[in-house]
Parts: sequence; C-alpha cells; structure tokens
Amino acid sequence: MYPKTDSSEFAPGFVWQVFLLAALILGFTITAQKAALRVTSNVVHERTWTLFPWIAAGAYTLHNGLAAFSGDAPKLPTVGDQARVLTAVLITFVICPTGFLLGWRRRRLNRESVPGKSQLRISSLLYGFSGVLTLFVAASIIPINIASESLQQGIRERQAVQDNRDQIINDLHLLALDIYQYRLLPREFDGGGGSYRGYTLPEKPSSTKDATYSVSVKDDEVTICAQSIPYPTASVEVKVDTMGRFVWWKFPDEFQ
Amino acid sequence: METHEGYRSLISGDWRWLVVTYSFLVLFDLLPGFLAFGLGTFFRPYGFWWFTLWAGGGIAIVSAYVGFGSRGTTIFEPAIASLLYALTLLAAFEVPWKNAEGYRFVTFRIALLVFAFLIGLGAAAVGEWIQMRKERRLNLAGEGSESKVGS
Repeated sequence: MYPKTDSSEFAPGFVWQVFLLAALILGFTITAQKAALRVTSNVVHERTWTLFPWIAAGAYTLHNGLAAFSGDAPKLPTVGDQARVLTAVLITFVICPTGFLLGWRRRRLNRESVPGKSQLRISSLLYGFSGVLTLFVAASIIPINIASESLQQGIRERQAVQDNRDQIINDLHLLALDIYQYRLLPREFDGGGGSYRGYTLPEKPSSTKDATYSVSVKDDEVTICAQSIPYPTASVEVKVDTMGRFVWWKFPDEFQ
Repeated sequence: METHEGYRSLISGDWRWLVVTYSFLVLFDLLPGFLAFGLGTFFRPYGFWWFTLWAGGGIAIVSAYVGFGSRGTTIFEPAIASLLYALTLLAAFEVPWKNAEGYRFVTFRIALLVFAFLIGLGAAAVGEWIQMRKERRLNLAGEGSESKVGS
C-alpha cells in the first residue's frame, strides 16, 4: 500500500462544503421524518416525499377508495402535494439526468485534455449524486412497469371473472322467478300445481353467452347448476326452496 | 521508510476522509433511500432485512470507493465513519431495527454498530487492495513503455 501524501486530494473548501451539505440533508431528512410521523399519528393524510409520481397517485387512489367506503367525497391533491410531486418529477426526470449526462461529457473531455487524477470537488459530488439517482430510476423503471402491468392484468382478469359471476347470478334470479311461477300455476295452465315436478328450462335461458344452465327437479326443491362458458372450470350451484328462495349457494373453483 | 510512513498514517488517520466518508454516506445512502422510498413507508412492510441490506450495501460501496479513491492507506477512516453513520441512523430515525424480534435491544444495537464498523473496514480494505493492484499494473505498464523507449 502507498503512504499518504501531502498534496491535497480535495479541492479548496471541499471538506467543509461537503460536510455542510451532509448536515443540511441530515437536518432535512430528520425533520421530514419526524413531521411524517407526527402527521401519521394524528391520523391525517400522510405526506411523504417520493421520487416516483405514480406512488403519490397510488396513495391518493387508495385514500379516495377508503374515503368512498366511508361515504366521503374524493379529494383532489392539495397544492402542497402537487408541488411536492412536481419537484420530484423535475429532480428525477429532468435535473438529475441532465446533470449526469452533461457531467459525464465534461469529464470525458477533461480526461482527454488533462490526463491524471483529479481533485474531489462539490461538482464531482453532484455529478455522482445525479448519476446514482439517474441509474437507480433507469434500473427500477423496467421492473416497476412489468410488475404494474402484471398487476393490472391480474385485476382485469379478476374483474372479468367477477362480471361473469354477477351476470350468472342475475340470470339465476330470473330463472328462480320462472321456476316459482311454474309451481304456483295450476296444471291446467301448464304449471306444477304446487309442485316443481315436471319443470323444464325454457329454451332461451338454458344457455346464454355467460353460462349453460341445467336443473334437477324434486317435488319441493329445484337445484340449478350454471356452468360458465368463458371460464369452463367455474360454476354456480343453488337450490330453490318451496317459497322460491335461494338456498345453499355454491361457488366452486374460480368463482370462489 | 515508505512502510514506516504507511503504518504511521494508518494509525493516525486523516480526519478529512472521516468527514468526507460520513458525508458521502449521508448523501449517497441516506438521501437516495429517503427520496426514493421515504424511510418509513418503504421499509415498514419489509422489516429490518431490507433496511439492513440497504444500509449495509451503502456502507460497503462508499467505504470501498473511499479506500480505492483516496491516496495512501485509508481503512480506519471509512470504518469509523460507518460506525458513526449507523449510530446516526439508530439515534435519529424510526428505523425497523427498533422492532427486530428475538434480540436483546442493547446487545442488538451494539452488534449493529460492530457490523457497520466491520463492513466499512472490510470494504475499505477491498478498495485499497483494488487500488494497489491498479497502481502496480500502471507502474508495470510505465516500466514497460520506458524500456521500449530506451531500446
């Protein structure tokens, strides 16, 4: 290993400048952290700094979703939140990449004109910081987008399954009315005369775009089975009692 | 003579590198972590492993850079700065280390400080080793080119 030399490795004033910068950052982060904790403990909307605008947007969506359950009107972002997001967008996507690319170009030109080891300066530090943030953002954007797309796809699929289930339940209600109507009608009017015996499904509701329906009839009970068409492994099974009410719902597999 | 000077500087240290390493840790580990995730919001659900990885990784990278970039032997300065940085994190922030289960609190704190010191020391030593290899290679290349010019 080589001994330390007296020739300075630091530009004049670098050490106290960097220490001042670190002290300011430390003060800012500690204050912001304490403020965030105080706000959270008072159960007020939590305000945090984030480099990514979609995290702030997600927080608002969640907050508004929870507010909707309580019957509150959705809130628009406050001016403070908008300013915070704008600052983060400017830092992340404008200032840091620009500083990094310009610094990189300048260093390349300097290296070609003045070879040798350079001193540490505040500008080198800002260049390093811009580089760290730019590379971090660039590296994290692809996995974030893949995860986000996969999550959205999953939500869409679950919503489609849920829609199909809702449509089937709607059709079952109409079928139950038809079944109970059959039981109430006297035999002279093609009814069951107080029994479900002899009931057959009408042609149209036995198969829709959502499901295929089948019934199993007993005197006082009809079991309806709906087999989903878009999701063949999913089905709904339910019984209609003597009063035309649904009992024993079953939602196996994807409808569970 | 050189070795003697080297040992002396190894023991006495350079306070400027101590300050610079600590400042670098604040700038390149604490601030990006705070800006990117918010120290509380990101680390809360993932527990202290993520935070330890983030802090430990930052200490290792910065210490290795200081060891590599500084002239002469700079090993203890990054190690002490890492210890001070871990102390700052413990004292000033609501980090998930406070909720670590299965550890006695005081023992765990001391262990974290020792770990920070050791990571800083090890990474700085690695940085020094890389620097030494690079300088040897440059010296060899210099000698080679001189001999070519001479011939």
